[in-house]
Amino acid sequence: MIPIEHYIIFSSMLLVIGLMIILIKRNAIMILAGVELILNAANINLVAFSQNDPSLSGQMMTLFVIVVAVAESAVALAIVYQIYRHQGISNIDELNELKG
Amino acid sequence: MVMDHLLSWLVFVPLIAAVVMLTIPQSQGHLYKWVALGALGIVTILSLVLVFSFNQGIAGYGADSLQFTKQLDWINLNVGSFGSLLIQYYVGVDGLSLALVLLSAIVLFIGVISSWNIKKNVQGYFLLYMVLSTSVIGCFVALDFFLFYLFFEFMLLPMYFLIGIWGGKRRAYASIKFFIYTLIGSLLILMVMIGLSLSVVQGPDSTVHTFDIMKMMNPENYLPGSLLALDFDGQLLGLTYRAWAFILLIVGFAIKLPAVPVHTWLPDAHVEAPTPISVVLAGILLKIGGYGFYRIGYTIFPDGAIEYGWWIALFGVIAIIYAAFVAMAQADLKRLIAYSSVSHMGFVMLGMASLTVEGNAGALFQMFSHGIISALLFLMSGVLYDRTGDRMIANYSGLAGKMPLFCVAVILSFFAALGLPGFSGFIAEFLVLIGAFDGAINGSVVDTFMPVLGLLGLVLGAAYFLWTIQRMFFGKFWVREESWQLPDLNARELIMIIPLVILALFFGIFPGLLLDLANETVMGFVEYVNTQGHQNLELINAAVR
Amino acid sequence: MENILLYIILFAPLVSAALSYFLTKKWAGETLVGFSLLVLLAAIMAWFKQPVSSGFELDWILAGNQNFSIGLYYDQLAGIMTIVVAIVALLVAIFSMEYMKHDGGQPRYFAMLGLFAFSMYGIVLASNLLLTFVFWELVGFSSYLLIGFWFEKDAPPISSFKAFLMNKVGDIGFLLGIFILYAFFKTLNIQELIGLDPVNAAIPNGLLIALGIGLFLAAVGKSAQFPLQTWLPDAMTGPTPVSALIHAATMVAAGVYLMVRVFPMLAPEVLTVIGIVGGITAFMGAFAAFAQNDIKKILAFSTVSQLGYMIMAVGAGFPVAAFIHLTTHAFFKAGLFLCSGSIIHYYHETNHTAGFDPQDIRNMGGLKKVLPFTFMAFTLCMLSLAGLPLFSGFLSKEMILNGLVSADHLPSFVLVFGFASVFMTAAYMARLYFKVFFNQQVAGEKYAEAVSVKVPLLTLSSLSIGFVFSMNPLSPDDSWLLSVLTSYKGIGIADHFVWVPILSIGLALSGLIFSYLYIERKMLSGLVSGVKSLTYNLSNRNFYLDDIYDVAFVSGSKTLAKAAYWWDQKVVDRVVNLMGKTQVVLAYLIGWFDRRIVDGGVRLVTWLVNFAGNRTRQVQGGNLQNYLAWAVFGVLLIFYFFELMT
Repeated sequence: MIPIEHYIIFSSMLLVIGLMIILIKRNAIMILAGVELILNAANINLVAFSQNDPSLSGQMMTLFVIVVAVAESAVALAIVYQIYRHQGISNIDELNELKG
Repeated sequence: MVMDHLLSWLVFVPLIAAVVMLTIPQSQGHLYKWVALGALGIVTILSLVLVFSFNQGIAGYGADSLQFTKQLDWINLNVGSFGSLLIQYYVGVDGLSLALVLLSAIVLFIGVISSWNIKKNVQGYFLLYMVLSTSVIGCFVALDFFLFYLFFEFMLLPMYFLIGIWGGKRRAYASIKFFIYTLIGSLLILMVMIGLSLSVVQGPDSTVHTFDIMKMMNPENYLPGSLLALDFDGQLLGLTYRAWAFILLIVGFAIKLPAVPVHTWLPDAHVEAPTPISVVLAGILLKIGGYGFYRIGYTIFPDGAIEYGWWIALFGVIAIIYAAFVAMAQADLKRLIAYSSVSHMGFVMLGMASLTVEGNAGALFQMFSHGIISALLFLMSGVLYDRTGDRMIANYSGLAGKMPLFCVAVILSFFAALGLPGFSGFIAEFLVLIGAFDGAINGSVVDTFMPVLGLLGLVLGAAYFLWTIQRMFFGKFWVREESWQLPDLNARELIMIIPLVILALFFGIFPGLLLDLANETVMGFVEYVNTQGHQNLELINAAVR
Repeated sequence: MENILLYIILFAPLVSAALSYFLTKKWAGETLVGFSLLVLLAAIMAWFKQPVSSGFELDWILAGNQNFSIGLYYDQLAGIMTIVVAIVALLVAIFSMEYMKHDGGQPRYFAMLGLFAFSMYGIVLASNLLLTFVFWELVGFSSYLLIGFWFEKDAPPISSFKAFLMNKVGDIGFLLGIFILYAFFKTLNIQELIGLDPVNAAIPNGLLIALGIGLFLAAVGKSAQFPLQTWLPDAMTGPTPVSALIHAATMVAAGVYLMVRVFPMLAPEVLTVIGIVGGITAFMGAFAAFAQNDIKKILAFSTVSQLGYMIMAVGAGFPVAAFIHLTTHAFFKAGLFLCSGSIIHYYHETNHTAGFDPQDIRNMGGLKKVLPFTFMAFTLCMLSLAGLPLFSGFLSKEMILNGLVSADHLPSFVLVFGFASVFMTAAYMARLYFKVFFNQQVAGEKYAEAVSVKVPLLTLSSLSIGFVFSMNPLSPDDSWLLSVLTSYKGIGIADHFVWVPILSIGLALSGLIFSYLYIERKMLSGLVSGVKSLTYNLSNRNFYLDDIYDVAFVSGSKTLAKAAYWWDQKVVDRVVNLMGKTQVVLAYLIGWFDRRIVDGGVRLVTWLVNFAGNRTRQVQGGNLQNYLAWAVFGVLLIFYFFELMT
């Protein structure tokens, strides 16, 4: 039985990595990847804590999250692709068209 | 409808004309003066209607003797525990103001004709002129102190620009001087107005503070123990607050009158102002000072009128003599006329201070008559200035041969100004002096020497006017520049001059037509000031002791 | 309609003035003559038809309950005066048509004459002092216009100015008198006032004297009495017919007329002053007439002197004598002036030399042959003026001299002046007479006077004969004038002194003979030149009065005016400007304070805010990643605090 701390440490590492990717990377696709990492960090936490939950609702939630994440990344990628097609950029710092 | 709101129409017709002018494009520039002429024509007709429908038989002085009144609440401000502050749109005329309304209409109308040749920024000029007309007439009919003050202040603005933009070489100096002088006067008046509004309420038990001048006449309407109440025992530098208020008011209006020694804005303003503005300034604006003495100073503070009447008369006499001497030393025709105005307004102060019916009727008549005659005099100097751009007396000689009509006009108007019988000026000066003398002998506040010195002013007046005629019009023809063209009076000038001369003559021969309008009011006024003033003084002295 | 005649007398001249100025320009003279004739007829009719003490009052100025009314009043005094004025005015109008025939300003001239006549009748007929004053000023005005008629010359405008101003000084006194009367009696009606008897009414004595002196001052101005007499000789710069009408016969007599009218209001002290002033004037005028060379000036000084006689008579308490002298004087003096006009006219018409002065008697001589008609008229009028028996002047002068002798309240020098002036009058008139009409060396051809000259001269000289006024030309007491004036309240008949007429006739004759000997026979030159060397300048310059006035009043008031102006500019206005400037300086100081201190503080605050803002603006760069970083930082901070709390 893997102690719950290990899960938490792992998911924390994933979270931090994802966060750092989001904060540092300029490429929109990389940021999406970072978002996926954070989501997966959450999923891991949910699955890990469901050990102590006989109803397994945490795992159910994880499945939902995966599905939503897929849909979300599909939409996001489509947007990024469309932006890239129209503007020729994927660097989010240059995407300042809507800035006030 | 017009008759119901006659005074309001009188006041606001020029303002409506101003709005109409705003809609006229600059390219139709010639229309402005026609609109102005039309508006003031209507005003003149309305004022004649007013005079003819005025009931001159109503005796007494106060709220009951006013006619054509309109009283509407305008601003009703609730100020907590203090009560509430009521500002009214309250207009009306009685014998004191009626003649002056008529005078304003006439002089303003003549002023428009005299402005016919204004070239610079015509729209602005006539707009300001219309605003000026509204505020002048408003001043004479307002019976709410706040409303009066509003119109009184509102006059400054157009006047400032009219002198400052359309004036002569030193116009900036003159207009600033005029503005500051009169503003200081206004501030003194404002102080008193605020004091009054703190003290006066609608009725003995009311908490509604009011600016109604007629309410201010009644001592019962003063909050007991308030600053300007009769029973207030506080003093400032040995004088009661009521005395201070009266002095402030009189100084404030004396600046407008103007009285010596606060007269020095007048010569400068006149010399720099364009002719029509000089006409309006001397013809009407000075009278607002005198009217303020009557309607505000004497009406609200009859006690001050009795206590300080001697000083007012003294300053009146000083003005008569002093300004006459100064006028004699003038090299500039317009300055001379300006100083003669100061001298003539001295008669107003003397007559008013005498507190006799004759003196007050004379002072009122003098305001009317001087309005007509000084307008004439300034038109005369304008005639010369239009032709040559020069007003120095020494630069002309023997004009009579070259401009006979003009010479006749000048002789008539100068003799009218120096008080030749047959012209209105004589009646005014005669009444003032006989009233002052009568008052002095029969125990009024003035002294015998005052009218006697006033008589000396008549000689001095004759001296400087005739000396001017002799130097400028008689002898061999000579002018400084040979190139000066001196055609005789043209039709437009005659249209202005002839009616004024006829008016001066008409009211000189039939003074009753004007005096009868005011007679009952003046009687009521003198009676009111004398009785109420003495009553008030007793109460004040009792409170202070 | 019972007063229609008074209306006609008063307003016909005014109508005529308006007509001749505006309508009948070419026929201005004829218009005035026509209307003057109408007035004369009306005046004569009024004498017979108009009841004595009749008239009417109209409301004029209503001040309070006080009514200043105006009205006309007719009695014998007014009746005689209107007739006198009407006769002289008519004759002068006729004479003017010839005299002014080459002048371009005829409509103006005749209009002014009409205006004058209107005002003069106003004075005569006015029932109260206010109306009298109104017309009093108006005659002054028309006199001003007429003296300055030739305004393009240098002298007339100055003398007209002077005349009006000096009259104005007198008018002040008039107004003062009116004020005092009004203050005590509340009426200005002359008859009512006389009825109230001001002299014995409850007026403080000082004011009673001031009242009398005031009214007298009016007469001093108008009737050219000492010390205001200097305007009258200068007024001779006007056209000669004007001098005859205004400055000899009528307007200057208005002062005397006023004195006669208000005589019952004059306190005894005032009468003394009046008598003294009259005496001084009579003497000074006669004295100054000696050294004049201008024919009109001689006559003007003579007028001053004769007016002095009238005033003396008033002062002596015999206003009727003054009035009768006024009447006789009006005719013979107007006659003399018209004669001088005829002479001047003759020179104007015949001598066109540049610079020739047609009024200088040194240029004249031998006119007896040239202008025989004028000579005849002049002789009659002059003898009347000299006061010889059978002439009108004798009658009135005897009355005055008798009055002076019997007046105890006057100092004796007044009487001496009175008699001295008789001698002097005869002497200076004879000097003029012999110089102008005899003195053969400067004579010309006989010149035919026009009819319009002859008629006035004839009329006036015949009116100078004593029979016109008295059936017994040696006794003034038989004068019909005296008998019709009996109802006049101020009447007083002097005692008779047999020596008075003898002395005065003797003096007048010796005066005539004296001048005859000196001028015609060239005798007495030693005596005369001796006197001359002493007194010539004094006489010629009229006691230097004008020079004194120039120094004392003219330059005095000019200096005062300059001083007042200096004061106004340099003190009053400077104080104002200084106050303005101090305010500006103060404003600058406050402005500096405002900029540096108050505003500095404010700017310090803004600088701080700005500084902090610059430092912190990065936080809101619009960069999502930054926001997120801060958000994460914030969340961590929250966690840290939770950590601290637990």
